[in-house]
Formats: sequence, structure tokens, C-alpha cells
Amino acid sequence: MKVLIIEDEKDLLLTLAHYFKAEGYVCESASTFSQAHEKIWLNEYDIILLDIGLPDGNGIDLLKLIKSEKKNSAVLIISAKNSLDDKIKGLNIGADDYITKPFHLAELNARINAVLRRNQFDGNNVLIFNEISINSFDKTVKINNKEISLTKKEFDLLLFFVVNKNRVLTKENLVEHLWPDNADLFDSYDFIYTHLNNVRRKIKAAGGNDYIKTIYGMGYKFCNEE
Amino acid sequence: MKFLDKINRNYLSIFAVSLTILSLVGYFFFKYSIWQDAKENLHQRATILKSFLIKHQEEIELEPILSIRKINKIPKITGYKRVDLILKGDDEAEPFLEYSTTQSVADHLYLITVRSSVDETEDLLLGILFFFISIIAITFLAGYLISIRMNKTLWSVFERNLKEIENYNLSKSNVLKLTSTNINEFDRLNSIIFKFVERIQKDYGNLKEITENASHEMQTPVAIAILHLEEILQHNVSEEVYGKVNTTIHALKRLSQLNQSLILLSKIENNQFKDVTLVSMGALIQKKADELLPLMEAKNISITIDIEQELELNLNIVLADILINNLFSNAIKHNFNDGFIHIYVFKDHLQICNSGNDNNIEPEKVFERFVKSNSNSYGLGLAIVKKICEMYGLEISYEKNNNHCFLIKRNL
Repeated sequence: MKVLIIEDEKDLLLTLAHYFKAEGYVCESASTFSQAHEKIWLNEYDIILLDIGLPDGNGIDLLKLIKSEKKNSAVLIISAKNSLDDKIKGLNIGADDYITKPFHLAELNARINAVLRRNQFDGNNVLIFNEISINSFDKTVKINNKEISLTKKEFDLLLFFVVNKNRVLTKENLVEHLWPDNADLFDSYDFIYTHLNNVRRKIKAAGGNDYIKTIYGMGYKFCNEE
Repeated sequence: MKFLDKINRNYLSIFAVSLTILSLVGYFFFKYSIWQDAKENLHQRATILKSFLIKHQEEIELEPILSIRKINKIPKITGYKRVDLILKGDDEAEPFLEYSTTQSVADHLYLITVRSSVDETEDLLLGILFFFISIIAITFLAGYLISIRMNKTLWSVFERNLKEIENYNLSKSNVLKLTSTNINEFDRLNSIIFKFVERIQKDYGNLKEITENASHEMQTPVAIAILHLEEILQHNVSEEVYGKVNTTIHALKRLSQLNQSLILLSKIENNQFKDVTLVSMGALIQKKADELLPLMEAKNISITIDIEQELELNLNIVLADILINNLFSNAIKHNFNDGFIHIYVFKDHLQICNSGNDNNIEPEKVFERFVKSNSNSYGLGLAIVKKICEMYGLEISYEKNNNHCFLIKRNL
């Protein structure tokens, strides 16, 4: 997977690049409009992370260029503006998703995965982790080829874990992923435990392993190791 | 007091004073000249009588106009005097001006007395006075009426411009339209105000832009800080470090959300949500309730939505969503476990009531910015609600008895 990060803030750029390299992506970066334009012109990317606010041009214009020149690249807008109008504008021009600063890496990763899955035209929307296979198109989960029934939130939760495997996820991460607009309304995030237990219980009942490890006092981690 | 009233009042008082003075002066002047005339007249008559007397030497008695009588000694008073005489066949005394003089002819002393009725003179004087006052009064009145009319036309443009300035809203960023008056002073005032407003508008626009840009720029460093802190959590850290880092992330999130709320508030104020559609509030509430169900379940809050009749309002859909979301959030956030939320929707109003502890906030202050009952909120949610209601002419009120109730009413 080849990713281009267009972001004028050096520190953010480095952090993101570091993260994507660790995740196994081939990662390139651009910090100005012209630099980005050149790279898009020369190379083919699976996904482009685009910061709307660039010093030498508007990211929306760049998005228009991307869409007119390289139709196969998925584009995820990173914006400081959290407004529906901007979101709709960006999505209308052809962006695949829109994420607002500040964001969690786990959330960005989940969004990128979702965009990439949607952008794959071979219909391969199935994510496999050992005996668990998740079809993000049908929203179905199979354990050892046996389908289990999950609620929408439980499905989202499991998908979020699998996409962010081997990463410590705080309760806050989970709640914010499931209720992005209203996470701040919860007095405590402990109720997520109920949803989590339901997922665990359903997987176990179907003969699957419990990969969700509780890291005491911190959060959860989806991983293979015992 | 209105400027015109002030002018008119001054005008009227000047008018009253000058009318009195002019009338008095006129009265005395005419009185003097009429008397003078009458005196001269009598004197002339007396002179004629004198020459008659010298020629004929006889007494004449033509009461009350004239008389020539022989007298023995020179009377004490001669000259002019006013007398009142009762004429034959008349009951009332009539005023006369009398002139008496003496003339000696062939050793006889005659007293010549001539009289002239001044009754008519007095009438004439009053007549003149009346005429005089009338002319002055009519002149002033006409002047006054003309000035009122002139003022009305002259000031109407001024009044219109004044209204325009009054209705001008800096944050709505519409252009101030002042009508030209063809009166130098007013036009000068117009151009001064226009320049003034233009400058303020420019400054305001700059300030707004700077504030908005700054607010947006703030999100990037916050994003960087959160990403780095999250990376720290990925390594094996002690529970204590974890707690601290997590609290820091949470604080940064709050900062960013607060910032976003402020941006939203200023966007509403700047009228950046223009598209308006007919929104069914009941349906919107139902949708929000489904969305927020897990939050209510987490606190075991029961909810009832009673839609008597669908309330349809012309709102921007984004703002309508925020409006209902914030009211819901408020009802959930300030509720206690096992509490309730009751929502009633009627044709022209809707009401959201929730259980909750007494918040020690005065009801009228609940919509003000940064007024909050617990440290977990920003005190902006209801300020945004109020702002949205104000924008669409909706009336919102808050009431607390045992429960907390918000009422939104269509302003009829």
C-alpha cells in the first residue's frame, strides 16, 4: 500500500509517516501544494491524506486536481475545521472521508482501512484474523466459517479492534469511535465494558479465541499472543 | 425631546413673547397717534371757533360738541381733558375728549369748549389692535406650519437613514445604505458614518478572520500533542504514567472541543448557515433519541416522546440538528441515574423536561456563555441553542421546579 501524506505541519507529518511505516505502508510526504502536485503527477498512490490548509494553496483545489488526474487514489481529508458544510463540500468533490483534527491514530487507521476496503474493486471486503473473518460490505462476522450475529455497535467495535490490532486502545478511543459526536456526553466510559463482553461472549460461543486483552488500568489490546 | 419639538417649542415661545411685545408697542403707538390726531383736530376747531367769535361775538351752545360761553373769570383749568358725559336719551356715560380755551373779545371773556367723542376712537384702537395681533398671529402660524411641513420633508430622509443605522447589524455584514439628502450637513454626516462603519466592518472582518484562523490553527498543535501522547501509551508504561497521560489527552480534547464550540457560535453569529428548509422537529427528535439511546441506557434514563402534532419549523438543517442535539445532551448530562426525559411536541411548541438535581443557576442565566453547573461541561451548549433560536425568531425559555424544562415556542 502506498500512501501520500500532504501536511504542512512538519511534526504532524513525521508522526503520521512514522506510524504508517510501522504499519507496513510505503509512505511519502509533501508539505506544500506544489510539492504535493508534483508527487501526485509522478506517482500512483492507494491513498492520499490531504490537509486542507496548505501554505501555498487550498487543499480543496488540490483535491480537484487529484480527482481530475488520478481517479484511483482514495483521498482522506484531514481538516482543522469541524463543520458539516466543509465536510459535505469535501465529500462532494470526491474525497472518500473527512477527519477532523485532533484525531486518534487508531481512528485515522480505521478510517483509512475503511476507505481502502471500499476502494478495492475486486470485491475483496473480507478482513481475516486467524479464525475470525469480517466482511465489511455485508457487515457479517464468521468464526471458523460459522456466522455469528452481532449488533451494529458490536460489529464496529470488533472491526475497530481488528484494524488496530496490537495497539493499546483506551476506553475513550472505543467510545469515540462508536459515538463520534457524543463521546463527551458520557460521564464514564465503563459502559463500553458491556458491549465488549458481548463481543467476547459471542466469539467464544462460536468456538473462537478471546483476542481482546485487558490491560489493567489502561485499556484493551487485540492481539495474538497469550 | 425630539429635535423638531425642541425647535418648535423655541419657535412658539419666541412667537408668544414677540407677539405680546409687538402688540403692546403697536397699541401704544396707535393710541398715541390717534390721541394726538384727535387733539390736533379739537385744537383746529377751537381756532376756527375763535375766529368765529371774534367776528360775531355771540354765544353758541351745541352740546356736547361745542359751546361758546361768556365767563367772568378765567377758569383754573384749560386745555385737554377727558370727560364722561351722559347724553340725553342715553343711559350710559360716553367718553369725550374736551378742549377748552379762553378768548376775550371786546372786554368779554369767552370760554370755548370743543368736544369730540372718543368712543369710536377707543373702538378703532381696539380694532387696530385686534387686526394687528391677527396679522402677526397668522404670519407666525403660517410660518410655523410651513416649517413643520418643511421639517417633515427635510428630516424624513434623515429619519430614514437613522432607522437604517439603527437596524444595521455589524455581524450580519450587510452594506449600510444611506440615502443622499441634498443637504450638506446631512450628507456630511452620512459620509462620516459611512466611512466609520466601513472601517469598523473591515476591522471586524479582519478580527473575525484572525480569530477563526487562529481557532483552526490551534487544532493542529493539539492534534500533534494527542498523537504523541497516544504513542507514549503504546509502550509499556506504569499505571501512574498512563493515568497522567490519559488525563492530559482528555484535557487537550476538551480544549479542542471548547474551541470548536466557540467557532460554531461565531459562525452562527456571522450568519454562515444560510440554507433554510422545513424541518419536522418531532421526527428529528425521534432520530436523535435513537442515536443517543446508548447514552441514556448507560445512565438508565427512561425517555418518552409524545408527539401530539408535528412541529414544522423553517431552519437550517445543520443548526436544527445541533439545536436538538444540544438540548438532548443537556438533558442527559444533567440527569441522574434512573432519571427520565419527557419530550412533548405540539403544533407550535415543543418541550423537553428532565429529572436532575438543583443546579443553583438562576433560570435567566442558564443560556449565558460559560455558565455551567458542573465542571464537565463547557457552558456553551445552551448558549448555542439560544443563539439558534434567536436567529429563527423562536422563543426559548427555561423553567425549573422539581424537574428542568426547556420550552421552544414558535414566535407568532
